Amino acid sequence: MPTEQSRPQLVHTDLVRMMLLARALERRAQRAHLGPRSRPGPTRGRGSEAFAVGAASALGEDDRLFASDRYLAAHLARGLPPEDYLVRCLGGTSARATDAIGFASPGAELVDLAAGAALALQLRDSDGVAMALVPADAYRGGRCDQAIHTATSRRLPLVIVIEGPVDPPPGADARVVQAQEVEVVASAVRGAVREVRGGEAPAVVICDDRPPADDAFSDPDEPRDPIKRELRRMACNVATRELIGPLRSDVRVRVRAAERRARLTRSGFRHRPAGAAA
Amino acid sequence: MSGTRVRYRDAVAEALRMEMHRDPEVVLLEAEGGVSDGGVAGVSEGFAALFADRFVSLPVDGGSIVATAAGAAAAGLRPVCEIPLADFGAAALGELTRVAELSRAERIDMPLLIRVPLGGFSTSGPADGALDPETWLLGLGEVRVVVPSSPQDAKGMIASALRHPGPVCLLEHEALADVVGEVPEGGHLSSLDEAAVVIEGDRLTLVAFGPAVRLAQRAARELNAGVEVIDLRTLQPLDDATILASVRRTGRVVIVAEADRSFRVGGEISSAITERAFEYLDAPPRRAVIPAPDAAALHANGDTPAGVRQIKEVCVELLAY
Repeated sequence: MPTEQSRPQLVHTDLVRMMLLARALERRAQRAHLGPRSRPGPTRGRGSEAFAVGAASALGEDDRLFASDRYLAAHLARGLPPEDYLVRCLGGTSARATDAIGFASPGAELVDLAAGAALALQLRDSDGVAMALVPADAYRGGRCDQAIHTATSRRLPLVIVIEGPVDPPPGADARVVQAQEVEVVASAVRGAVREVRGGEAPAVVICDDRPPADDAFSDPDEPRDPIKRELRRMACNVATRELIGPLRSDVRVRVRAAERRARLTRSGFRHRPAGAAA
Repeated sequence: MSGTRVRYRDAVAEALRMEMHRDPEVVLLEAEGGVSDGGVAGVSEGFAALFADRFVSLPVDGGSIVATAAGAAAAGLRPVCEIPLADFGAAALGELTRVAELSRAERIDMPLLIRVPLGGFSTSGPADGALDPETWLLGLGEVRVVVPSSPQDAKGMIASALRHPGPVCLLEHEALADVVGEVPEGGHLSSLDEAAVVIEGDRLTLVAFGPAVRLAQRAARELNAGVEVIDLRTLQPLDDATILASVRRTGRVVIVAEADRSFRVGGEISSAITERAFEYLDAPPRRAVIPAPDAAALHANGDTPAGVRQIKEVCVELLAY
């Protein structure tokens, strides 16, 4: 049984595992698309893993998450089976729905979708909150402001987490944190969720994804890579250094299991997976 | 079941009111300061006072309204929203496309009713016809598209739509707003996937939907030549079984179309008939292209409206083929 002292460490390890898994799955799907001899380029979610996992980890059972496939790590944290991601990426339909929605969405409307879900939670007297993860570009389109206006006037249990350096929405307080630090994101979003549950709704968290200045753990070649950053941090600590190897091999095992369940071979699907669209 | 004679718009309002009393999950989402108080036809006038929390005003942005409604639907409510095409049709219909894809790809039930008033200046604006919901909506397999042509169907289809597990688009033609018809008292349901034979005949099948059904009925009566009239009632899914059964009996078919455009319902029907009832045809399927019906055309009792004349001309040609 974990002790009270070891729990934060376990939480951190789980967060990093989810980040590693998201990236490995994205790479695997990319290889399946391009072929085994391809030279993979950057994946959609590269660099956003800490933001996505940190935000999603703050949610409880009754909460709703709205995030695009760019934030795969958030969907995995909310229970999306890894094999379902592979199936979806290769043109199939997910075998089952999760409480995280928006995978096939470009982003901007996710805030409205979340506001609608927040309305439903409020009218049903639920304790849950609805959360939207949006990139800065989607936020700047103006639809976030409208949703925040609606949420403010009705005090909807809505949390909007924005990835990128943006100005806080007019008339709304916002927490601003560093997007590369998974535990910092998780802590800030947990605080926002707590406030919203307490009636101080809606809440906005801005996760600035610019590389932190003078950061001892960032990779100088890839300062926006939160996974490298977390692994470097773990490597610098005697208590966590030994966890890196098992963590990586656990992720490899999970990806292979997902490949098997999605019936994916080196050259693509062996045959159409269960639940795939005709 | 006893009935009363009510206007189309009042049947819509009555259906919404009854459903909101019946089911606490039904909510109404409207644009704040929209076309007029109570929506385009004043249907929801007084609902804000009656249903308080379940009447939600949103910023005037069609895409935003549809997405908010979809989010509420995904979380268990049954939202109803009104999307006047003149105000924000393209944004709303575009958003509905994305919502339909979300519902399909992620297997999420989105019980959502979208009322689309169309066909008049106040709903479609000066660019009437430029934004054609038929071409936008019919490719979305997840969205039912229904076109009630009578007050009875309007009331019954709204009640059925609010029990359906997926998104339903209800096209409400402004020309029909003041049409009066017999409506059963109390609640009643109408099918969301069946066409109706509204006049029986054995020499020619006339297919129409929306306000054009009334013109087709008048044309059939004036011709008095065994013309069968089918009210499509639902465009997605298309009830081709009813159409094919009729065409196999009559051997001739005229499809009433409001505009001479490609990739519309008429083309789909024509294709189904030639593929599956070709050997029964005595003449090639024809379209009768008529001007978009307005309220004056529907209520004209004396002069024959242009649409009725055009339908009759095509029918006469085809009967003589």
